[in-house]
Amino acid sequence: MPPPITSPPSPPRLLAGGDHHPPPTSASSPEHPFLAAHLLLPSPSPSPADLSSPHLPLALAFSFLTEPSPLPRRLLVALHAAGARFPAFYPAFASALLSLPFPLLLPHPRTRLLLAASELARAAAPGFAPLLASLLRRVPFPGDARLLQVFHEHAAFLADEEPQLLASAVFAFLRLLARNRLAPAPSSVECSKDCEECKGAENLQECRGRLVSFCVSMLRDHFHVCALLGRDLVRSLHELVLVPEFQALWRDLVLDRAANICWISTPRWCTAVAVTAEMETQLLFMMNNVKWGDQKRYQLWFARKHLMVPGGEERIPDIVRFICCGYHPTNEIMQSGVIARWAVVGWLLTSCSKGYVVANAKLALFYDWLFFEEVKGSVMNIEPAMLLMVNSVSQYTDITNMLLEFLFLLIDNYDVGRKEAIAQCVRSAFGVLVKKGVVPSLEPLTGCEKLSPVLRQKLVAFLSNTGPEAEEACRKPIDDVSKGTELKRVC
Amino acid sequence: MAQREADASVRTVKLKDLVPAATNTVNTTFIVLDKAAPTAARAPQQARDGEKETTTCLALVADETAAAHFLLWGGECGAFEPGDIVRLTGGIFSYHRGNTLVLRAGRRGRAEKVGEFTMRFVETPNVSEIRWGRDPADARRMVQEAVVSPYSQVFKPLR
Repeated sequence: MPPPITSPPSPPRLLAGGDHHPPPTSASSPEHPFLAAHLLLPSPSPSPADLSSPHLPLALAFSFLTEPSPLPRRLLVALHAAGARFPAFYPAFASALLSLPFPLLLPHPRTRLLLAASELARAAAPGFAPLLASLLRRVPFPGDARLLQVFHEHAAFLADEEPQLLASAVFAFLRLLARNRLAPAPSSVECSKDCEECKGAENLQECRGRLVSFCVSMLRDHFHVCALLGRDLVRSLHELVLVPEFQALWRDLVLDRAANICWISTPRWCTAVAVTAEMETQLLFMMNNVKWGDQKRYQLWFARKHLMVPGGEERIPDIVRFICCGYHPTNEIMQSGVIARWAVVGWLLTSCSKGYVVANAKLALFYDWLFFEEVKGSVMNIEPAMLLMVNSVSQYTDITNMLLEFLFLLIDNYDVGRKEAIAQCVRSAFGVLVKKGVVPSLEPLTGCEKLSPVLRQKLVAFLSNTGPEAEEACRKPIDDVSKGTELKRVC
Repeated sequence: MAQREADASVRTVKLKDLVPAATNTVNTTFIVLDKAAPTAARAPQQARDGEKETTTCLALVADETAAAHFLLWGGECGAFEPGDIVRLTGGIFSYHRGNTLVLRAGRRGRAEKVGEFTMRFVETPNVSEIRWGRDPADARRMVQEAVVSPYSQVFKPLR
């Protein structure tokens, strides 16, 4: 009599996804390479044959993420044995973990992914930095307090070896504190394995005190590292000025140095830390592929997914920073009829419903104006604000009025002690925008009847109190008013 | 012959090349633009069998060549949202309830979410808003007779 046919238990899953997602057996599933490697090497052990297998990085990643709690010791042994023997192993293991679509990870694999990242960091294994950097962009997510623990434990090492990563962590946590005013963490499905590992995973929102003290101690102990963030460090600290721990820090440390740091341009990698990978992909798709007039649906989907969720609207200032400093399109892209950066910013500003978010978004938009230096500053950082003002003036005069009014408020109040220096930077910004041909002249603003007369007079007076460049710009006639779609970048 | 059938089963089409036919051989990828409210529907066969009502939901879908109406069925209604990129295999493009021309997975087809957002699309022509007739030269084929509406009449374009 033949033995009864029992179907083997189906392998564990990495990703959520029901009937309407490609199954892990389908080549189009991101899980597929992991499952395929797992079937070839079901239970990697530290044996020489397993260690030299080309399938080891994916197979070990699969086992590491899915084995029930507690994690079998042989997996850790295999991880470090392979890493020690084969230089390419650690980076391959780390990039396998990076290839998984994080938002779809099931709770247990997600907890384990954090464990793997912290294990790689502990061993200073090549490839750990991009993995940790990608996780920083994900906060807040369930169990993210482990990240704080990793950075806390290895801060001294990171300050020396991976300063950009440590600065990114400080920025990610400062933004989380500032943005959320600690809104509730997104709820998550429970771990189906009901394991202690997942139950014990803490969320950053639950340990606000530790988060604040980590940021404060990094700023005190590794200020030179945090200064890599440039002026966005000061912008973030300003938003937290009401938090007592930051008040003391501000008095002791930042006050004297803020002026100097503000002269450091924010690096691109910094603005990317505060937006998730999905937001970045979708924003770049809009600004590289979506033609003028076709953007409505994309904007709606983006808003539904990223802005109309708890803590979503608070991201808008960071998205504005990402657009201004993190993405500078080429001339070809700008002339290809796709939606321009200023239009995306305009849409984002109108998507804010909370007053403080609008104010922070406008500050984000004008921030590089306040410290603009003709020699060092990038005209692409200040271009979106200018084009938004100029292109809104005829149909959406309210927007131009609102922005111009805010700019004058900033000049007068952002840093009263350095008011004149800031005014000079803003004048220089106006001058360079004309000089580089971003706008042919400032006449669309200074000569616009629809604009508030008070603001217009203020602008003319402000600009006339300056060198010959901007004056000339004011006098230039409007022979061709710029159109966003036809603008050329000359820089 | 078997080889040709196998080829046909993996060949993908663009939405502009859809022609109504009573065969479930449509393989295509599109992005969901909009979704109407779900409605409870009962297929005549099911009504006779006394089965429960099945929810259906009409959606506007598109690729870079054309748009179409897609009929989400049962669990599909909750599984796909506007902005989702969906791959349909073994689908069918035919008249549903006699008069509305829709694309759907059908009993043997399968719709899977394969991505989000990053796909270009056009909303016109909409192949569900075209009147089709028999080809006088070949009665088995359908040919376009007239454009009923350049855009979907159910889901208006957003401007």
